[in-house]
Amino acid sequence: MAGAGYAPKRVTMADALRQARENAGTYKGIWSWIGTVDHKRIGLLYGLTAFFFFLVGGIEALLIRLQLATPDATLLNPDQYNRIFTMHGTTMVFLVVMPLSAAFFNMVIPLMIGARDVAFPRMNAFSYWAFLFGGIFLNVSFFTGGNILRGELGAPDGGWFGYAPLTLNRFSPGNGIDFWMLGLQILGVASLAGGFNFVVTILNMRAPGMTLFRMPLFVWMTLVTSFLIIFAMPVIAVALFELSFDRLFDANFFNAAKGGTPLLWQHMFWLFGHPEVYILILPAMGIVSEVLPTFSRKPLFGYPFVVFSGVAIGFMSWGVWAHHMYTTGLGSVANSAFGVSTILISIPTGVKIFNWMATLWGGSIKFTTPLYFSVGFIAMFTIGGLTGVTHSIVPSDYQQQDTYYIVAHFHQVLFGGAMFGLFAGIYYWFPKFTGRMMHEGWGKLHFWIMFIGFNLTFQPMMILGLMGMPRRIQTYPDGYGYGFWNMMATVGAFMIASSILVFMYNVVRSLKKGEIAGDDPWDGRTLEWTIPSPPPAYNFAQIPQVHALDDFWHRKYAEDPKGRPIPVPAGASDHASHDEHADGHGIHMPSPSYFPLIAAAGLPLIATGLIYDMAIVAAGALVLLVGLYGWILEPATE
Amino acid sequence: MRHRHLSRLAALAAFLVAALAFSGCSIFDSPQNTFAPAGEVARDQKNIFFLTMWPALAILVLVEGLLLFILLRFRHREGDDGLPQQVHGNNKLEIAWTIAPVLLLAFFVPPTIGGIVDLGRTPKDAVVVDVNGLQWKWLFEYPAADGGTPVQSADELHIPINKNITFRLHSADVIHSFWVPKLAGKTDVIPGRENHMWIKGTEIGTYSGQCAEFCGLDHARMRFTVVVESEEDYQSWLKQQAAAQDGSGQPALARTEGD
Repeated sequence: MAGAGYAPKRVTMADALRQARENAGTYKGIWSWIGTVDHKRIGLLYGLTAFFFFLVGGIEALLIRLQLATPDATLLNPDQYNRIFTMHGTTMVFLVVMPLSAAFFNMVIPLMIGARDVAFPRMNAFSYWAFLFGGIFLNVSFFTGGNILRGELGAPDGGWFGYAPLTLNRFSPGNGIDFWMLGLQILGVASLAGGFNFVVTILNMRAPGMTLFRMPLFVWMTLVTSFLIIFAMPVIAVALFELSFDRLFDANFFNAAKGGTPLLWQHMFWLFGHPEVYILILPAMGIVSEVLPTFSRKPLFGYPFVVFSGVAIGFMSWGVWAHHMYTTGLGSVANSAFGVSTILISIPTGVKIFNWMATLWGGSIKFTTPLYFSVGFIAMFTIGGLTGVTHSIVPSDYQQQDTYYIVAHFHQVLFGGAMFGLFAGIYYWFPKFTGRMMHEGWGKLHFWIMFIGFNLTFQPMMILGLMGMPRRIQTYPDGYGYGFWNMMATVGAFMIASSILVFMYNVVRSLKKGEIAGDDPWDGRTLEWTIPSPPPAYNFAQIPQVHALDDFWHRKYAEDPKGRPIPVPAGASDHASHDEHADGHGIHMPSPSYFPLIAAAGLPLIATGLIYDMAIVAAGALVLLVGLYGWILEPATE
Repeated sequence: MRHRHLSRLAALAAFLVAALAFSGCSIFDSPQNTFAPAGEVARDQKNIFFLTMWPALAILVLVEGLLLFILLRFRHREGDDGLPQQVHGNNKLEIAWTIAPVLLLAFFVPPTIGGIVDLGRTPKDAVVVDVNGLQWKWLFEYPAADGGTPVQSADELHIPINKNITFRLHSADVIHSFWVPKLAGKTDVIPGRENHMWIKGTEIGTYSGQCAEFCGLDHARMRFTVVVESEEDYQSWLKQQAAAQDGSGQPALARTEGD
């Protein structure tokens, strides 16, 4: 870099930046990660961060389970308990399942559609940094309640659903709720950036020939999820803004004493919250729809029906929100309407389950770890779906609302469903991104401990709910018959935790000693398996031409008239002329940039300022402005 | 052969579930058990729950059994390197498994709407009680016929047997939910709003109730009891309460919402 001349050039800001960008471009060292705009690296950062929060949320879950294991327990006092269960729910929804799904969008979508990156690589980086800062900001609240070592926690205490007016200053005077409402706003910005990015990426950056109905199912489900994010996040944003006005500026949106409407919060929260449930589950459904065909060695049964049922779920998810509110006194007409709409949404969900089973039917099923987790998904999600149907029976739901029956139900969907699906995805794509296989034995051990632990944890909760145990209670008296089932659930929770240790060991072990994967270890069907593992920075040396659904499979196998596959002899395929392993020389990739990070850093500063001092708001706004300004002026490639 | 094993397994599982549900085994005993109702509303709610629970359990066993069957039947066998027939779909099947659930679920709609309407009505000749939820206790008020000072009690509700009781639900602070599992499902108690629900106790006894909506620090301890008693006992309890109140000069509870 240094010139040969002996009059050393003054190092300007621009030079420093260029140098930094060059360092980032070398793909080595911490700065290359901080400045990265590569979708695979951002995806990995998303995944690792979300997994870290998964451990945090998991420890919170274990504390809850320890407290509830026996009657009249005093491990956590009511204040600590309320803060910890609030953070458990908030963390698992916003900092674990959503970003883990985003990790898969990032890592897999460009590869599946034959693209070199996402549509807006820097916005993608911004999305990650905003998520990271939002997550840290939320968790910092733990330290604001006094001396944390003496158990004085400062986290929010209003539940992840934050029902007003309990969240107003009068009933929750600390700063916990402030951190919660502003933290969720930051995370909302991150989600929106991601949502727009993936809609545009999927619609505009597909390889030539990949029509919408040649897109892999995971791409479809990502598209539907991204649209749901785009429409749902603004709803919660408005609700959170109103709450912020109430808390920070003494407005009265939810203050009944001054004519405000507590129920307004619930309508908005669940109008966001129910699509959110599908934001959490649809990506996992997409993953399962990729894994099952690969290991049954058959195409997905009823592809258009699986696609359209996913789209139908996306639309219908907007019409069921008040089934969270049957007991609020909406009246018979509203309760009937939402009861019926809740019945209806189970139909496309059922269609998906039938199609997955028909995919397995007649296959030659290879029992790999990803298949185990996908089958676990179907088995557990079916329970979640059926208990969901019982919620549409409004009169009996008056009994189950706000009991452990509901807790059991949504864990069937979000853990038995979403998390099992996401673990299937991790085992499935791990070889693609690391170049090494995960160990099958440890993987199956992980599955079985988690599967048994899961059932031990959540099926007793169903019984507890029917036995009349309400949710969100810090303890219960002896003599209510809850002790036995709660103890069982606690034992199950620790089994789940130990299965996660097995998983972590497996990852570390496989990274070092895993079998070398090769490009296509599973005999895959989609484009990501056509390129080297791990993929080069530019993904595809040559952008592929797509001729069919499951294009890669059809390059490998032809079908005779009776639908029996015949392997295509090597070299005979008309696609063989592609040289997939060209060295990629001369491919222009977007340059790294630090500005998304700087812009994102402005957000938590603004939020901190809103809580403590308006001067920090100004500083945060300045940082955001500098970030955006630099971002705009920076050339996209050099 | 395997078919028979599986169906036997399924039958065994169904039997176990049924046995557990009906055994009255002590691990299911709870003063708040929704499956052991002591009032008309809770009984109707239990029955309608069973109406969906049994078909749902049957479908569950069917689906999980079929899944298990598929996994065993179509597993990859060692040495079999051929690929299976590449079936892409079947429109008739798709239509069948879309329509069949619709028909099954349509069966649940009339009892659902019937139940909603029945629970939403205001019964005639009902005893009216005002329920006030506060952080973290319940205050019950029995309006006097002559418009005088209502009879009050805290965390203990007395009602006459076999009579419709209508509750007017008020909150003085945050949202609570009024719930006596053995007598009726819950209704939320929301500030700035008056909700209604009705119950009818059909067995004399003392029943456990609890706030069901998270309401802050002592939510778990916001409990109360409901005493279902004969008309005579109820009347004498009312008199006793009224006398005690006159003696102490306890003021009527001001139902202020908010500040």
